[in-house]
Parts: sequence; C-alpha cells; structure tokens
Amino acid sequence: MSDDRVGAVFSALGDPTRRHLLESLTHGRATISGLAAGLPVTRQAVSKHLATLGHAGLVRSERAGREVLFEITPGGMGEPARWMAEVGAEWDERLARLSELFAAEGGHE
Amino acid sequence: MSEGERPIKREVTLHASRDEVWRALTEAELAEQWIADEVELDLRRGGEVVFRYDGGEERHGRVREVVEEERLRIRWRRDSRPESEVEFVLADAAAGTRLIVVESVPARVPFASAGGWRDRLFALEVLALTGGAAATVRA
Repeated sequence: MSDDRVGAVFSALGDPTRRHLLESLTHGRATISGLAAGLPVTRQAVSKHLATLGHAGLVRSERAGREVLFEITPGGMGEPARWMAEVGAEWDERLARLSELFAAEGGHE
Repeated sequence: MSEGERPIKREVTLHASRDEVWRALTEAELAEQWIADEVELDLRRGGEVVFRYDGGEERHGRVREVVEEERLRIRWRRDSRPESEVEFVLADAAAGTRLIVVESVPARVPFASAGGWRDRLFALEVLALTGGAAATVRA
C-alpha cells in the first residue's frame, strides 16, 4: 500500500459521516438513496462522501440495472475500516446516552 | 498510547460538574445507564472490570490508571477480539465538563515495532481478519 493510499484511508476515516456510511455498509450493499435515508445530509453529500471512500479503496460500486450499489471493499483495508467504524459508532451511541442522562437530570441528582 | 496503536477518539461536553461526570463513569449504577447494561468496576489500579450487555456480549478487563475526577484508563477485551485500551479524560469546559474518550487497539508485534503506517495498517488488517472478522456487527 502506498503512503498516498494510507493518507487517503485515514483522511477518509476522519469524518463522522463517512464512518457512519461505512458502518451502514457493514449490513450489506446499499444505494445512495438508501444510505442517505438514515442521515441528515443530502444525496449529493452522500455521493461525495462515497467518492472519497471509493478513492481510499474502502468502498466500491457496482451497477445493477438502473441502480448503483455500494459495498465495502472485501479484504484490503475494508475489514479494519469496518471494525474501526464499529468502535467509533459504539462510543457515539454511549456518549449520546450519557448526554441524555445529564440532560434528563438537569445535571443534578 | 504506545507506538502502533490506532486511536478512535470521541468528545462530548456535558452540563454537569467534574464530580457528577466522574460518578457517572465510575459508579456502577450510573455507568449502567450508558456504558453497558451491567457494570462491575473495582476502582483501583489492577482492579477488575466487567461489562455485560443484554444481548449476551461481555467485556472483561482491568483498571490501568485512576486519577480521581481526572482520568480513568482501562483495558478490556470483547470475545475473541484483541484487547483494547480505553482512556477517559475529564476536563473543565465553559458550560460544564468535557469528557474525552479514546479507544486504542494495539497492533501486534512484530508489525508495530517495524515502524511506519504501512506496517501498522498491515498489522491492523491481520488483527481484523483473525480477531475481528468473526465478530458480529451490531444490529
């Protein structure tokens, strides 16, 4: 793997939306519309993020009729990326619960 | 964090005092409301930690460092995955307390000691294929 590629991988993983997209793709192949549905961003934004992930070799696309399906690139950096995305997603969930906990209690007990 | 570890970092500002955030982190009853469904934490260096989830998942580990209301470092392991280190750092923030969480997964020797991102990435890849690939993805 070239240093350029390594840089592209970490740059790609540095964005929360892209990590979320990778996490979503761990559940299977998906279209841009399908991926955008679960996010507060536009299809165009999702498309751009997928292009960045594709450039880093983390996801790939395949045309199926009129649709384009995206999936995590098997092997390569796909597996570690998936695993790192998962750890990040877990903390996102836990910290969201913690924030809610304090919001609900008004910071006092 | 030592050489060859890949950190995953998250931060959140909570409208609460350092004391309140520390307790939410270290008192089982409070930690059970956000970290895991069942928490056992022996709050001292070398103390045992157990996190259980309703789905059956369990994580076991040890406390590595405790600095009251400032820092907690644990190492934990989930199933057959490689052990990872989680560091919680509390800091004062304008509106309350900032909690920074960094989970670092060590790349294995000899790859980690070989130096360079290329080797570390390769080590991560090997780890993921051997330890992480069989793990289930959260539904």
